[in-house]
This record gives sequence, structure tokens and C-alpha cells, in this order.
Amino acid sequence: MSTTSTFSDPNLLDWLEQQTDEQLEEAPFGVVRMNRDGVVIAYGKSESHITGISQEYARGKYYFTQIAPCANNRMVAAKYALPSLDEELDYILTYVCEPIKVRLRLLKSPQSQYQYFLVDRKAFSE
Amino acid sequence: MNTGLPEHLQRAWTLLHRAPIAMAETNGQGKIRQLNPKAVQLMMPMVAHLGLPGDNLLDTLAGFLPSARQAIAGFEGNSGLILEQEPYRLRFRIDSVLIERQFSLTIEKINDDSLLIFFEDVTDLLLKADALRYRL
Repeated sequence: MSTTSTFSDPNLLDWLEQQTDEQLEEAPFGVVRMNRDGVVIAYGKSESHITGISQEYARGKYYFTQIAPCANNRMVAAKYALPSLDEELDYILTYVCEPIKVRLRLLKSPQSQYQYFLVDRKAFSE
Repeated sequence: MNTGLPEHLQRAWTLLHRAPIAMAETNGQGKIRQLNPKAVQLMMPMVAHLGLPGDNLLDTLAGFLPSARQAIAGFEGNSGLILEQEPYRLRFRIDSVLIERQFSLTIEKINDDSLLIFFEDVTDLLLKADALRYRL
């Protein structure tokens, strides 16, 4: 992996686009790389630790209907209909049925090949 | 699938993970102990609208249906159904867009320290039922 970026880096989308799927899966925060239809291409190890969902299970599935239905609403999933998106928000994910407070960052641009769902648990860990 | 769970719990996880009804267990004051993804999906827009931290489901629901908290406070049994498929309407804004939805709420008291809360967005169901009646 090239020099690791940070969760709130303003140039994070550029960095993500330069990473291979395998490199993204090692990112220090949760990363989900989706194609423009919302199908999971890469599912980071950190994301897997937060949700308990394995990388093998997630790859190839529709993210917002099959993997993270908790985010399938106007606050998150619907935002990906926008041509350009860079938004951070506080949210809750579930580990089995345990609520996990997280910070999300939603990213895409008209030039980017993929769209990204990023999760930072550390922001709420203290 | 979900790493680290024994096989019988994997199957239960699939049911909870994909259930179309929101389910949560809270303490007697509404603090969330466990909930399924549908509950998060429906709850978070309400949490954001009310400016709440999102860890108390009763605070969130009572923001739209104040009588829910009164029903719990007034329930005298040690356990049992407090509300069953109680209809209520939500109006809130997301990014300045006005959202109006019809919900159904069921609350069951398990004991003094445990509530089961089930809620559902029935807006589409009501629209389909209206369309069906219109066709008849």
C-alpha cells in the first residue's frame, strides 16, 4: 500500500482510487468499495471486524440491500444517487445485534470508477 | 457469513439481519441493548431529525409519539403487551426534504428492566391496500 491516508483527508478519494482491492482491504479504517450499481468489490478487514461480516460473504453482493440494510435509507444509500458525494455523518452499525457507534464518510465523484462507504470506529471509542 | 458465530446462530443472524420489521431490546428506560439493521435504518433519520445521540429508542419514538412513554409508565403488569400495532404518523426533514411516513409500533414488557420494541414503516402497505380496494 502506498502511504496510508487518513479518514478525513480531503484528498482521500484520489488515494482510494489508486489502491488495488487487496490494498484497500488492509486500510486502517473500514472501507467498502462498490461499483456504480452498489455491488461490493472490496470489503476491508477493519469493516469486517466492526460488523462481523466476512470479506468473502460481502464481495459480489449489493451493499445496501444485502450487507448493510441498516444504511439503506435517505440519510446514506440514497445519497449515492448524487453525481458527486463527500459527506461525513455519525451513524450506528450493528455487530450481530449490538449497536456500534461510528463515523461514516460517503465518497464518490463523476470521475471516480467506484463509490466508497468508509467507517471510522475510533472517533467514538473514547 | 458472520464470522465467529456457531452454525445455529449464523442462521438466526440471517433472519434478524434481513427481517423487514424493526426489532429492538431495551432496558426499562429505552436504552438500546440490541437491535436489528431494519431498526437502525428506520431509527436513524428520526434520531438525526430530533438531534438525539441514538442510544435510547424510547426517546426517539416518543419524539413523534409522546403517548408511547405514557403508555409504558401507566402499564401496571409485570409483563405483557403495552402497545400492539399502534399506528402513528411521522413528519420530519432530511436535507430540507419533508418526509411523511406511517408507522406501526408494538411494545412488550418482558420485566421491569427489559422491553421488546417492534416497529414498521407501513406507508407502502397502506398505499397498496388502498389501490387494491380501488380496483375492487
